[in-house]
Amino acid sequence: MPVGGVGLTELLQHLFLGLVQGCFYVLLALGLSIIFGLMGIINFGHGVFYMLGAYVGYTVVALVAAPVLGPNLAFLVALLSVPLVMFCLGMVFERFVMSRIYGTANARFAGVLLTFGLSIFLPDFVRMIWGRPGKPSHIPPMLEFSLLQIGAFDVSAYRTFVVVVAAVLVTLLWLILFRTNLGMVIRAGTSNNTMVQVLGINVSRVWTQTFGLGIALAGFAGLMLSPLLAVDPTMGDLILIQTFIVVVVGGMGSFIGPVIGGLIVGQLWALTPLIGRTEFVVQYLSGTLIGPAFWEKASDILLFIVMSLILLLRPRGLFGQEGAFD
Amino acid sequence: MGPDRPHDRFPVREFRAWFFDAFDRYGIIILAGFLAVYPALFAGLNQSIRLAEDADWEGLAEALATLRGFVPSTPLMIQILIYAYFGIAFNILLGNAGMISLGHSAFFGVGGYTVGLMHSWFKPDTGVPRWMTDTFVRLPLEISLISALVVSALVALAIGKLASAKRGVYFAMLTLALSQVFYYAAQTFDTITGGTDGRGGLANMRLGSLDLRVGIMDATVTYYFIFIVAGIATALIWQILRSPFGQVLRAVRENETRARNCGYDTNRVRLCAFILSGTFSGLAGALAIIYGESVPIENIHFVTSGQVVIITLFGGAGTFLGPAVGSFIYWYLRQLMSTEFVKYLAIFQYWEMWVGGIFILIVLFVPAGILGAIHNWTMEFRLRRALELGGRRDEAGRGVTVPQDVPAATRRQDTDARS
Amino acid sequence: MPVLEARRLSKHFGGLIAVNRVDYRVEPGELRSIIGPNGAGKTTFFNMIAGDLPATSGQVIFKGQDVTKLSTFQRSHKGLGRTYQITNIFPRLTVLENVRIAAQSRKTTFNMWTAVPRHRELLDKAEEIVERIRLADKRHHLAGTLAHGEQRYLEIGITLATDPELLLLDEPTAGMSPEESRQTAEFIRTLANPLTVVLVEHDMEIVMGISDRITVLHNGEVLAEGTVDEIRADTDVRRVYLRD
Repeated sequence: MPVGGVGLTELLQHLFLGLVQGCFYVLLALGLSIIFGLMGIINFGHGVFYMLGAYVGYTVVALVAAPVLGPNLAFLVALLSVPLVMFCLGMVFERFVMSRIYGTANARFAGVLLTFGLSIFLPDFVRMIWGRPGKPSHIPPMLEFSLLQIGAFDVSAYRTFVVVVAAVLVTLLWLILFRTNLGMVIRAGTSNNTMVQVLGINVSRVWTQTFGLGIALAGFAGLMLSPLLAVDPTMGDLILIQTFIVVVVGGMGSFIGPVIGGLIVGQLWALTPLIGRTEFVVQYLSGTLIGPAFWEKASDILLFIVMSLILLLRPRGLFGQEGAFD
Repeated sequence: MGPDRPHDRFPVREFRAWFFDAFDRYGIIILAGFLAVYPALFAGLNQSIRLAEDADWEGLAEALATLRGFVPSTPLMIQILIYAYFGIAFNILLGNAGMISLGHSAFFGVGGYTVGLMHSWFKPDTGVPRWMTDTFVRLPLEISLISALVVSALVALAIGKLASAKRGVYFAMLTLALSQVFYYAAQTFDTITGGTDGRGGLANMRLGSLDLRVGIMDATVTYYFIFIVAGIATALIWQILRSPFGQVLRAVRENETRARNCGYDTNRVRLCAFILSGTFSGLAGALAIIYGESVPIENIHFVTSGQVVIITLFGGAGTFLGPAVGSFIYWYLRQLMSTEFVKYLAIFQYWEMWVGGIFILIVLFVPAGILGAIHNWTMEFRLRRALELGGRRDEAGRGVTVPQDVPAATRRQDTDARS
Repeated sequence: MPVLEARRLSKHFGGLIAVNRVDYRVEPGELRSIIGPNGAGKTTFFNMIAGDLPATSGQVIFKGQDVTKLSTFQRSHKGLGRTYQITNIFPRLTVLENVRIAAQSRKTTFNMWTAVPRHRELLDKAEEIVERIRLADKRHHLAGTLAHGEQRYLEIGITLATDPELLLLDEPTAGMSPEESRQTAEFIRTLANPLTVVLVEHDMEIVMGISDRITVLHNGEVLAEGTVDEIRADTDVRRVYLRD
């Protein structure tokens, strides 16, 4: 049952992959948005923390799994421990490096520079500790099956797991932000930092924890993605830029912006290759610069085009706050 | 003004004032002179080593060889010069207009690709019309360099239109993301650009008007060519920055609202600065591939945008030559670490780790950059001078950006203390 | 012809009406003040006139021309100058440069070919204004290092350098000591001819001392308008102010 030249199962498969990819984007974009919303700093180190999460996960799994618990339990241990480790690392970085520039003029710029510097520092640091070639990462055996398989449509258990976990996390995050005192402080701090300080709340601790939370989300995303892709020191580069695209598209300053933005961008990313397989392209554009071969690899370019369109037509993003950027 | 006042009892201050004065005025000339003879100096060092070896003066030969390990080679100086110029072009935006662009790799890479592609097209069997290949038997560099300028200007216009309406860190994010389109385009259209392998085989580039060959085989000629071209472009930038337009840029940097209120169309001003910076950066990218005779894809990747930011901040964005100092520090350290220090301690092979760490330290503790810190330290004397001269030498007219700490604490420049 | 006219000028922020169909008219050479309790809409009104805030409805007419759609920098070229409640200067430029660059806006923006000192007349003009605002001995100090009061004078100087015909001063004496405020009020009075000056102020003494006419805003509307004596006697005004 082809749809414009593309098989239905193929379409479903890509939609599913887009959903999975979207989940990663959502987690990353939420992390970035939380940090920006509270501290006004765009974390250019988001990509390398994502990468670090994968590496820490590898270490936990390889060191814990091999001898002791077996791959499945090891994976579960990683699921719990990696976010904690990344949370602590994020807090450490915030406390000892980032906090030094608060209150200075150009603090936001300095924040960008510091996180940028970290993004230069970490990959080579990782190479030094873990070696230059990438690390292998496997889907835990218990999730190595398919829930459903019709033609090209293959609902793998692991990917479904990713979607479920992401949904749980987003809900948890929403609950934290909108139903707890900490969340209230974070949201209040977003709109009026001075006032919050006057109320006697320990703002610096909230900032440290918030930063840690954002980093934990990034690292967790890295851990979850590692079985599906290679784990290497450069895996954060592309993801950082794609996360930026997501927050531009979805808009920062709201909760729903990164979520919807992430899902949309995920779909765009996954469906682009299909454009190259449609009848129209195959028939009329084969052999040209934008023939099927182009579309197979054009996901990234398409994302940029969409981002540029949003910038032109709706600069604050789909759900962004007006004037969130001075 | 003579040393009659009590606090001028010690001639040391007068000397310092004089020294900084002279350095200000003549430092550039001395530096330019030094750079002009550098290839000869380095060749002389090599020659001395050979002579020493021939004469069996092993101790001397070894000492000189060790020295050579710590001195930049001519090819490395070419690299330093190119990035020094690139940093200065970049600093039109950062230090002067107060705009943080993280996407300058687009201009650098596009400039390089323009030259590279044009030179590989102007050969038989590439589909370029006969009359073109006949007129330019080999494409002269002048044409491709000018084309690089034009193309970079267009790219800067495109990105600028989209991004320069935004401010601050959002602008930074946009320039980063928008510049990466070009990287992905280069990667995707790899039949044209050579993809991740880059485009090679650009031997035999000639400077048409002088019939001079440049490239790897002619390091010295290439050095002088790049030195002169970059030098002229730098002088142009210097002029632009000390012109009335330059002052407007700095006013926009200081307080955009106030600048608007004075009657300046700040959006147009920023776009103009962006295009200027992008065009000059494109030339830097073109020069970069002339020596290497190939276009690596890294030149259009974010890594290059990052390098120019690091270089500019190492030296300091608040002075004109800050990026040049930064370029020297960056490339020199990188070379030292990966070839010399690594002999003693293996972890120096991870030079990016060191660069990143040093960068963080500089942002935290020396935000004005190395040259900026030196300049700040000497500012005390400069300002006193200006005050003493009663306004005859006008700070406003010198075109030197008033010192700043880019991520700065609002420390008071304590000039009142002396009046 | 009035130098400035606001016709039914309004500003809505979502459901909040900050300024409600205000009519306002200023004749050339006048020194007018706008007063009112906090939240009365004074700065919002100012912002609309200066162009920093787009109006929701209504018109701003400057020297007979409708400038409602024009941006701040365009209005500046028409002859409208404005200072801010929170001092807005160029902190890392010198005092002299602050004024000079403002003067330069009338001459050139995109001139990249000459050097700044060549534009002698701009420097002279800046020197003159720096003298006038009594900052001549600090002309080479970075503006950010000046005392608060001096910075506010500098801001007035910057505005003067753009040859305005109408000067909008938003709380010029904010943060000043009583003595400084008095001096500033005197200084503003000297500006009034031939310039037209409109002040927003909190300090009633200043206002009473120098204004030709006073307008009282309350809840975004004009409560009363008249001479100093008329306002002093106005019962509505007394009620509003005594209640505060």
